Order: sequence, then structure tokens, then C-alpha cells
Amino acid sequence: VAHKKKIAEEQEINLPITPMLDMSFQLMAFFILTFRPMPQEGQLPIELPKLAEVGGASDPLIPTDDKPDEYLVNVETAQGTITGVTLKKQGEGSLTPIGGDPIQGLYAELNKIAKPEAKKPIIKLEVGNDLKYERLIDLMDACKAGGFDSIGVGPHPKEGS
Amino acid sequence: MSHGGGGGDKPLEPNLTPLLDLVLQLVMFFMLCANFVSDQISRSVVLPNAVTAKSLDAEIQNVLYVNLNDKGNLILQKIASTDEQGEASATGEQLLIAPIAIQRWLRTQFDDKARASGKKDAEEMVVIIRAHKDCTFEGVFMVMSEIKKVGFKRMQLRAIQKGKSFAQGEKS
Repeated sequence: VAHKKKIAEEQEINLPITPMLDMSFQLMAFFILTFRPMPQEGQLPIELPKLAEVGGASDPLIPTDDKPDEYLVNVETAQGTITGVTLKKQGEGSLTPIGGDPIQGLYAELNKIAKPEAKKPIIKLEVGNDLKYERLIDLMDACKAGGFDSIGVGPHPKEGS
Repeated sequence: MSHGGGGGDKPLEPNLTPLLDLVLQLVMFFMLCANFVSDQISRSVVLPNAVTAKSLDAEIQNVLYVNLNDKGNLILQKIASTDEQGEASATGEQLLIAPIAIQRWLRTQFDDKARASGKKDAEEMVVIIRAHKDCTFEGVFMVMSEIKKVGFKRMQLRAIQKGKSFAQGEKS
């Protein structure tokens, strides 16, 4: 009995590695061929339009004292591109025209505005209906980079929804 | 004359185990990186780039994707029954064109969520608009209006996280 046990202990166990390696190579080839890295997508939060703007009842009124400063960006468009941008503080008459590159100009102008932590100002973009979504995202990007987190969009009052 | 220290009659067996380990690790990497196509995301939508776009908060599980093509039509990935107001696109996706059809679809999503987990959860659902970069603002705003009318309270616009910061003057 002891002799048989010794023989069993001396026998080598050979695992067939080669077929497993073949299969692994095939799996790897499949994944390499089907590998298509997807670009990283991200979000830009946006305020929903007011009910009055979409043909509903008015939103609840906020007391004037609690209202943060509101800025209005008027974007003139033609054939889907931006032709002119003006910035205005709500309740003030003066318009600040943005010269040069409208996106960089808007970013620079917004950067100058003070943004108190307690009452963060909000910004509303009024854009032409024919503006391309790509350019709208550029405008929102400039607003976010300029320190405005609360962004709303709407059409020009003359164009309506 | 001797020819060095030969192994005698012992057959040569290369050690394949480290190679197998390495290959399995590579397979694992590709498996983990594989993109499993979501039912709610349309591949035909080409998104614009944005520097400030942020990844979706991991805590947000309650999401509804709204895909819009370059003409502002809503893309449905899977549809159980044929809708008389729907139209099939070249890619086999179903399109909703009329605002009333879009509103009806949004209303169904809202009501389904409200039935499943309550009205509050339905209102708090984050609606993510994935619009094609050439889609006009008119199309996007029409969908935004319908989203508001249906009763959703949170919305985000989707873009590709790309580009350098504004301070570097990359964006134009």
C-alpha cells in the first residue's frame, strides 16, 4: 500500500494549457476587434423654461428681496450662427455689447461680474430659433466657465416658442 | 566531443502559464472596457463639445434620456407597437416628429414612473437631452417646453467632455 501511494505522489499532473491559451487568444482578438472607446459624455444643468413661456400658468412668485441678480444675454443669430451678443442686468437699461469672438467675449465679460455666495446670480440666454445646438452649448459653456451655474434659455420674446 | 550541457532525452516544454496569465488579464481589460449599448442612448446623435460638462452624479439613478436628431425629431430606440405618428428613420430607429406625439411619449414615461415609484420620484427624474449638434434651438426648446408641461422638474443638456479651459482661449 505504501509503495502505491509513493508512485501516485511522484506522478506529475499536466494541465493542458495550450487549448486554454488558444481560447484566450480568440477571446482577446474578439474584444480587440470590437473595441470602440466611447467619448466621455457630460451634462450641463439647465433651468426649465417658466410656465408662462410655454403657455401655462405663472410660476409661484418669489419675494423681491430673495431674488438673486438676473442677467440677460441677447444672442442675435443668422443661419444657425451667432452674429451678435449683448449683456444686460435685469432692471437696468444699459446694454453691454460683446465685441470680437462672441463666446470668448461673453466669458470675459461674465468673469468681471461679482458673484456673491449667498445669492448667486442667474443668467438667461435669449437666442434665435435657428441657432444650432452646438453654438447654444458653446454659449452655456461660456456662462458656466464665467461662474454662472444657474442658466436658463428661451427664444427672443418677438419669436416666442 | 561534448556539445554542452544538453537536456538529454527530456522533451522541451515552454512554460505557457505566464503567457496565459497575461492574455487573461488583457481579456479582462477589454471585457471591462467594452461598451454595452444602452437602450436609451442613440449612437446616431453627434454631440457638441463642452469644457464645463460634468459627469452624471453617481447618486442619480433616476434618468430619462431624450435623443433628438439633427432635424429635432425625437428618436425612439425600441418601440413595442407601431405608432401612427411615428416614422422609421434610415437607421431603423423610430422617430417622433409632431409635438403632440412627443408630449404623449413624455407623459407615458412620467406616468409609468409615477405608478412605479410615486409622483415625487417622477418629478425628480432627471431628463437628459441628447441633441444632435446641428439640431436647431427651436427643436430643442419645443422638447424642453413639453418636458416642463408634463411635470418634470430637472433637466440637463448632454455634450462631450472635451476641450481646454476658456482661460487658455481654446474655445471659439
